[in-house]
Amino acid sequence: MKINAYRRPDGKYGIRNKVLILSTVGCANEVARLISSQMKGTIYVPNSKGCGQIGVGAQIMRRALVGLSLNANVYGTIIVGLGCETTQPHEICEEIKKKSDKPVDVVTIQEEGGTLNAIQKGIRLARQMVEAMSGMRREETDMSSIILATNCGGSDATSGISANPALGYCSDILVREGGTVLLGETTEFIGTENILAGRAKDAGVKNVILKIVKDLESEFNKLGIDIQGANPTPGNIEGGLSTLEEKALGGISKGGTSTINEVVRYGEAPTSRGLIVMDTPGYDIESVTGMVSGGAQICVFTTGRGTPTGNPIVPVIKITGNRQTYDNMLDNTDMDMSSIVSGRRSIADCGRDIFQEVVDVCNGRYTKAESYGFSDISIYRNEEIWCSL
Amino acid sequence: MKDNVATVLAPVQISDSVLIMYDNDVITDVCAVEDIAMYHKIAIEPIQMGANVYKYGEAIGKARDFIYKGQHVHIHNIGSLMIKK
Repeated sequence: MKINAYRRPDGKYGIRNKVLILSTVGCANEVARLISSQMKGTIYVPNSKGCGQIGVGAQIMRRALVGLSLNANVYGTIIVGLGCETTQPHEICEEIKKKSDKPVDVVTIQEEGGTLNAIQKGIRLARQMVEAMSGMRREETDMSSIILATNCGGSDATSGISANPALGYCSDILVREGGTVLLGETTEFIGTENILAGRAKDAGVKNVILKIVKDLESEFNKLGIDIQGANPTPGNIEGGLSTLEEKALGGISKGGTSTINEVVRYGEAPTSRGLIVMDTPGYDIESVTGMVSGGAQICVFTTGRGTPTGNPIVPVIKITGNRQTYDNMLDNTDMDMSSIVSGRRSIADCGRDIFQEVVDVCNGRYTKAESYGFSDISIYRNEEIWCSL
Repeated sequence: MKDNVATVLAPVQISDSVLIMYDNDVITDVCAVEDIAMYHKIAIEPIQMGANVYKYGEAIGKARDFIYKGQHVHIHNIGSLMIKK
C-alpha cells in the first residue's frame, strides 16, 4: 500500500514534519516551552527528570532522548538544557549526530547566561530550522516504512474480544505489507510468556521473551507483590475473565499472530521488521513514549473506559469496542469497534477498517487527540532511590 | 478452529439457543444448560476433566470438572495452567 511521507537523510520516512524542542532536564522545561510557544511547527517535549539519575535509569533517559530525536516524524531537534545535568546536552547532541544527518542544535541556559538569552537563541535556531522544514514535500513510499506502536489503557470486558483482536488483525496486515509492529506492556505478558515464546523467530528471541517476563516477576516478588495471584482482578472475574492466561491473551492479541522477530529494550529501535516485542511498563504514557523513541511514527491505542491521550511526536488513533464509551467520549475516541460485540461485523472487517484508518492518518489526516494538540509524553524512570519512604 | 468455549455477547438464559460465530459465519448452535452473564463463556463442546480449555486458539486453562456442552465456563470449573489455587 502506497503512502506519501517526508523522507529523512537517514532513509526513514516521517508521516509528520516537526521541529522537536527537547528538554534534557526538568530545570530547562520552561525555557524549552517558551521557545516552542513562539515558533509554529515545533513541538515541546518536557523532561520529568534528566538529572539525579544513575545506572540503568540514566541509560534509559539518554537512550530515550536520542531515540525521540531520531524518530522519523522529527525533521530536526533543538536540545535545551541547563548545562550541569546528568544527561549532558552536548553529549546527547553528539550521539544524535553519530546516528543521523538530521539537523540538531544545542542551547544551554548556563552557557547563554540566563533564560532570556537562552530563549532568544533557541527561537532564532528554531526559526531557521522551521523555515528549512517548511519547504519539504511528501514523497511516495509504502507501508513497509511504517512502525506501528500498539498499546491499551482503561481496558474493560470488551477489550479482549473486540478492539484488541481487531487491532491484531490490522497488525497482521501491516506485517504482511513489510511494515513493523511494536507490542509492549511487559506486565501484561505475564501468563502468556510461553505462548509468546512459542511464536519467537528463534531460540535467542524465545529466551529473551522468557527472561524479561521472569525478571519482571522477580522484581514484583522483591516488592512482595504476587502479580499472578492478583490477576484476574475481581472486576475482571465479574466481567467474565476466568484465568490469568485468558486476561493476558486478550492484551497481547493487539500484536496479531505473526512471528516475533526481535525483542528490544525500552526506547530502543529495532533492527528487524515484522512483529517486535518492546519491554515497556504498564503505564500507557510511558509505554507509548518508549515506542516513539524506538521509531514508531503512529500509534493505535485500544480502550474500554476511554482516554483522551495523545502524543506530541506521533498521531494516536483511539479505538473502543464499548459502544457506551464511544458515545460518551465521542470527542476523544476515533473508532467504534462495538459492531464486533453486537455480532454485526467480524474482527477481520473491523481490522481492515483500522488498517485503512492508519493509512489515512499516515497520509496526513488528523486524529482527534492530534487536533486538540494533546501531547502526553513521559520517559520511564526506574531506580527512584534518593529518599527514604 | 481449536476453541471449545465462546464468549456470549448478550445475557443468556437456560435453554436459549446460542449461535456460535467465527468471523462472519455461524459455525454451530448450542443450547445453554444454565444462565450465563454477558461476556462470560459457554462450552461449545463437552470438555473432559483435566482437558485444556481453548479460547483465541490458545489454552486459557484446564477443566477442573467434566464440563457439559452449553454449560457456563468460569472460575468454578476451570483453573489456570500456571497457578495452583
